[in-house]
Order: sequence, then structure tokens, then C-alpha cells
Amino acid sequence: MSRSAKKRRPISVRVVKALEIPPDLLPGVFHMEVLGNLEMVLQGCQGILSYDNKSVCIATAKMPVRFWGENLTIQSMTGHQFILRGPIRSIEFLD
Amino acid sequence: MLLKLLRNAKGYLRFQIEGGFPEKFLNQAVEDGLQIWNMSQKDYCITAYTTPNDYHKMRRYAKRTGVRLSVAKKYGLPFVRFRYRKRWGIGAGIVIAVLGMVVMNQFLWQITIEGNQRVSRQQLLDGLRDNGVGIGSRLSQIDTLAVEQDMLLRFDNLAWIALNLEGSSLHIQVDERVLPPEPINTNDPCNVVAGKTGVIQVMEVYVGQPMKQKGEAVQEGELLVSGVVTMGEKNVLRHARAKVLAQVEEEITIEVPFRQKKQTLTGQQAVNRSLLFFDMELPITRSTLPGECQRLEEEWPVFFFGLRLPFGWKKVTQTGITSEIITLTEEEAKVQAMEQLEQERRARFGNREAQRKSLAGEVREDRFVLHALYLAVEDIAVPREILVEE
Repeated sequence: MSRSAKKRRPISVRVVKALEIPPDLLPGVFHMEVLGNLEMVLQGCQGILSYDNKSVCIATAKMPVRFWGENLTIQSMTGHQFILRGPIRSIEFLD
Repeated sequence: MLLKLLRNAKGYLRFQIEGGFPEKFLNQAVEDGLQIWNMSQKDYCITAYTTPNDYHKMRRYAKRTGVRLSVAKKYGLPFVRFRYRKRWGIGAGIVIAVLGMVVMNQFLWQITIEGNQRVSRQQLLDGLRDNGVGIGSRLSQIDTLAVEQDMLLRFDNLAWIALNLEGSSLHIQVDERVLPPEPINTNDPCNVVAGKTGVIQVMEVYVGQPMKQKGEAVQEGELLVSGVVTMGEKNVLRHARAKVLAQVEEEITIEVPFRQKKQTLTGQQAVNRSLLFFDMELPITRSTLPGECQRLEEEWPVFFFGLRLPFGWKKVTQTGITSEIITLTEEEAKVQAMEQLEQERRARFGNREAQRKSLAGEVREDRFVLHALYLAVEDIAVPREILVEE
């Protein structure tokens, strides 16, 4: 496989990696905290794309994220913070 | 918890989102800064919570996104207040109760006293009242330190007193002084003489020269122990001390008149009830019986979890009495005299052993007279000073 065929990382990612600075500083990177499978706190939410009993799809700057689970409850949703509760089965990054 | 309290104070509601594009609706609402929490979905219907104001604002987003909003339940104080807006009595009652509590907490409700034995509760309460402390006194005007000092000066028997104000209760703890026995002045020479006529049973001489022995009969005033003690060839004056138990005779005379005033209850009653509020008595009913009557007072203070509240009930029952002059027979008078004799014997001898030597009754004019002679053992030693010419 030729070098040009390889998918190259964006320059910002490469700079962060080279300078060993926290990736939080990268534009469009969201911050997510998962407490067991009970609660998830996401900073950098840009809205809900879909919501039903078993899955919630959240829009972020970079990619949509889908959470699978049972009886998922959106505990709170303010400007950029999103708190989801319920037994979370899996998290899918829809890149 | 705090958040829940604030939400309850401001009021909140549970609403349902159906149809249309609920995600779009939620995004727009949140983007506009509306508060939405606890969203859950069931059967294609999203349930969430919001404030009444935000719910009002949400309606325009609902129209744009085609969702239907409906209120499921309302929570919090504003809705309760709205529900009972016509029942002004409840509000007035709450206001009166709160005001009552605030006002009542300014006054003293109860006084408890611990540790007193010789000084009675009533004496202590009287002392407190003289210091301006009593049921109904204003708490802010009670200077516990000054009252404590005054009470210590007022009552010699108190060694220590503490006034502890706890809310509307005053707890008083006292410690009584244990008084030392009076010192014996051994420098003053004295004899021990017989205080009563009797027969000596026990004689314990601590200081002095015994002049009598056990079994001897002595007259009142007779020398029992001499303070003049011979030491070698010299006579020395001492403060004689001794315990001399002697069997003495004591006479009890009881007189019972034949004509007596006898009181009987008529059965006619008048009951007066009154409301007690602090130290005040507010009469509710007032009726009196003519003539003499027996008065029975009963009080029912109200307690709340062991705390005596400053109000209660008082009931005063008056029962009519009729008086008549009756004439006793000799036998009846004798029975009455015997009863009185027994009471007198208990009062005079108490637990001491007293043996009755003789009992004689006689009719003297308008009364029955009973004479009883008892033999009792008691300490007859009495110190008598020896006068010395210098």
C-alpha cells in the first residue's frame, strides 16, 4: 500500500501528539464521563438526533454518538452538557 | 435535595411530547435556554419536567416542530396555593400558628427543679417570682446569673444553683448545703442533769464523773454526770457530756366535747371550668353555691412530647355542706377520744417504743376526758453550766 493511500491524520492531531499536549484542546473534541453503566455525562453536546427507549443519538462537533441501553432517561440537557441515565449497554461513535 | 426544595417552592410540571419531531423540539427548546429535565420515553411519547414559565414558552416550538404538548401533573407550592386560593382560612390558620409560635417562644412555659430536698419547690418558685421569674415571664428579661446569685443569698441551705434556659423551659438544678454540727464549746465547764424524771436504762459517759448508775431512779434536775473531775489531788472542771437513756412517764390527755358541729355533704354541686394560659386563669363558666361548701380543684396541663405547654384546663368543683349540732353518747365520745389518742401517740413518740401504763376516762361536765400514761425511753441528759466565781 502506497503512502498516499494511507489515511493521514489531520495536522492538528499530529501537532497535539508531537507536542504531547492534552487532546481536550483540539477543536471539536468532546469530553465524556461514564460512571459504570449507570450514568454518562457529555460535555460538548450539540443536540439530540434521535431518541427512543433503547437508544439516544447525540450530535457533537466531530461525530454523532449513539448510546444503546434500556429505559434511557435524559437527566438534564443544558447548553453543552448532556446527562444520560439508565443501564447503558454500548456506545457507538458514528464516524 | 436543595434543588428539589427550590423546584417545589417555584413549582414545576410533568408534560408529555407526542407526534411531530420531538428531537427537533427538544434541541430548539434547550438552545433557547429552557429548562427540561428527567426526559424518558415510553410508547412513542416523551415525558419530561419543566417550569410553568418555560412550558408556556415551549408552545411556539411545539407549533414549529409539529409536536403536541400536554400537562400530565403539576407539582409545587404555587399550584397548591392556587388550588386552595378560596380557602383563605387555611392560610390564615397557618399565619396565626406561625405568629403564635413566634410570640409564645418569647415567654417561659415551664420550670423544672432538680436536687432539692430541704428547700421545697414552692419556696424556690416564690424566690424566683421575687426575682421576676415565673411561668409567662419574658425570656429576654431573665438574667440567669443575677437570679442565681440572689437565690444563693436568699436560701442559706443552697450550696449551688444553676438556671439553664432551654428554649421556653427553665431547668433549675440545685445542690443543698450539708450543714456541719454545731461545735461543742468544751472550754465552758458544765454538768449533765436529768431533763425528766425516770429510771436510767443506758448510761454512756463521754466526759465527766458519773453520779448515777443504770437502774437508778432520778428526779428532774438531778445531777447525772458531774463536770468536776478529781485528778489525783486536784479537782478539774470539765465540760461533761453523756447519753442517758431513761424510761420516763408521759401523760397524754384527750378531751372530746359531747356537743359537736357535724358537717355533711348535701350532694349539690357547682362546677366551674377555666382555661389556664401561662399564670392567667380565664373563666369559662362561673357559678357559686350559697353557704358553706367544699372546694376541689383539678388541673389538666397539656403536654406535647413531654413538654408542658403554657395552657391547660382547670376544674373547680364546689360541693354544698350542711352543718348541724349533734350530741355524742359517752361511748361515741370514747371511741373518738381513742382515735385522737392514737394520732397523738404517733405524733409524740413516732417510731420510738412507748408502752401504755394506764388508761382512764371520765366525764367532766360537757366533755369526755381520756388520760393515758405511757412509758417511753428517751435521752434525758441536759447540760447545765457550772457557774464559776473568778
